[in-house]
Amino acid sequence: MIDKVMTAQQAVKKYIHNSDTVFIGGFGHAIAFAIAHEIVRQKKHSLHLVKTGADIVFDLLVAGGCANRLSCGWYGNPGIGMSNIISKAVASGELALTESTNFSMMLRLHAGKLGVPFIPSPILADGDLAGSVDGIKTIKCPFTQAQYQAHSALNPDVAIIHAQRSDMNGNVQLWGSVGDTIEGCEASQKIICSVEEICESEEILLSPHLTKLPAHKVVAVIKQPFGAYPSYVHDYYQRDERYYAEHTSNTKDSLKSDEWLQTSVFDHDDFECYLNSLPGTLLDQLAWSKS
Amino acid sequence: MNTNTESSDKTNGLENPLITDEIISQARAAFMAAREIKDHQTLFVGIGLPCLVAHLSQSVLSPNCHLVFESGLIEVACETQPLSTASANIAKTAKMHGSMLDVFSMLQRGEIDVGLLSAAQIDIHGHLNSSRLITKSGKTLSLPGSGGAHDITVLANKVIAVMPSDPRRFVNNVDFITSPNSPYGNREGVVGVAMPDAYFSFDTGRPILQKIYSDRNADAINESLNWDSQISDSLEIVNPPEGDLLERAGIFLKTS
Repeated sequence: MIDKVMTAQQAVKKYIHNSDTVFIGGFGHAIAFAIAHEIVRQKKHSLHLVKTGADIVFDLLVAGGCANRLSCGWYGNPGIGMSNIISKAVASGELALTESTNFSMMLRLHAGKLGVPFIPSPILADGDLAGSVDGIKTIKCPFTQAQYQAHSALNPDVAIIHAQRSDMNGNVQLWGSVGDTIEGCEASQKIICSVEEICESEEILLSPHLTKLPAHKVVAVIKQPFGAYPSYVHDYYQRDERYYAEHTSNTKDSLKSDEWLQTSVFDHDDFECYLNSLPGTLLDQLAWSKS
Repeated sequence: MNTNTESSDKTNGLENPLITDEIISQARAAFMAAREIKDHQTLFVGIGLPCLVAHLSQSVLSPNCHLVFESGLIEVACETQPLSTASANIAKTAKMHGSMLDVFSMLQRGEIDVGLLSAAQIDIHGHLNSSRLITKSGKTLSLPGSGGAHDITVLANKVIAVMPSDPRRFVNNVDFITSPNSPYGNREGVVGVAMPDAYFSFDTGRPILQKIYSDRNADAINESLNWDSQISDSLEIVNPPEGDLLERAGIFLKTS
């Protein structure tokens, strides 16, 4: 039994290297904000980020200068608007963006998970996205001779995710809306996971059906309550709706984005300090409600 | 012009300060789309206006319909407006927490009866654009992109688009074909588009004004949009949503 518990600072330093391909876990739910903050704080660079729908945590990584490539099916602030930061980075040539579709990204990660070179699908055969995506080629079905698109496997170097709990060995339990997280993690070479709680292995044995990631791929377990803030964690806390609502105007130009990055990341030694800087009762107000 | 003579302050919602013009407009577009849903159908629901369509379908018109969201939420009760396909409000009412792969696989297997989508533009071929707009001065305005829209358009058995009544959204050729109306196999693709005044079908491969609200004039609506559409010989007149439907839409849209 190996104790994989460490701080985000140690995990990012040890397991995330410049130029790595990184899958960011959490689709609307349980987004790995705490680990992303640490990547920015350590000024990692030249990362290739992969994702289905890229939420505002990608703004953090792009504004922080950590990424030079993004492959995704969508990017922005869900239900609210565009990502000013990503649009600007793409326009200036700082960030190479490959836009595809959410299902295509899912298929590519699934091919990576299965350990096969590609998965065929009829999507991306037509329209203006067809032909523009690296890693997709037309093939003929060997049985029917019909044409399909081969969606090539993606195997990121590392996945960063947040989950409800884990034991110290990295038997990670995740529930609620899992989105693309499981595929992304299983496709990756290794997994860094922050959790709300670290529990005893005996407790994991009481609910092994909730364990969604195998310990042998998990290299680091970070205890970080509210580590997905401002997104939500099922059964733990609600999303900070106000944060998301104000995010687009808080990042509307370079001046505002720099200020946002400074006050959320660089002003603090770690994510815990950042949480402590939030208005007193805010986190209490986000307490999970069943209805 | 067809005038709804029964319209009064009460029925068009003006009595209730919660029912704004914006809510009425969204409710009218959503109701036009929800009328196309058959009970017991399985719907793949996009964010925005499609959620209101799903809500009105499930709570009034097609109470046994099944709702699926791209995040992997299955058998959802869409009682309040979700801001994203993984929002906690719909995660709490979902009877199954699947993965994105689960729900996109349902689409690909042909198990989704209707995909409900909105877009920045729709054209006379039924192609949808959610990627970028070219302004009059030639500037490119980036949008968030496909998400699952391309996949839904190609793989759902039918797609119904639902759009606000902005004439610039209805064009002969979209600026960028994010979601081509080229359905897989024998699926039907984009069968129609609902908006606050009318419903256009693509039965002939081109937009035909098929249904119009009783308080709107078909010629005027047909002329008002930036695309070449025709009026059906068998135009159907539809009474606009009122009373309970508007109240429901108002409550739904206010609770996000």
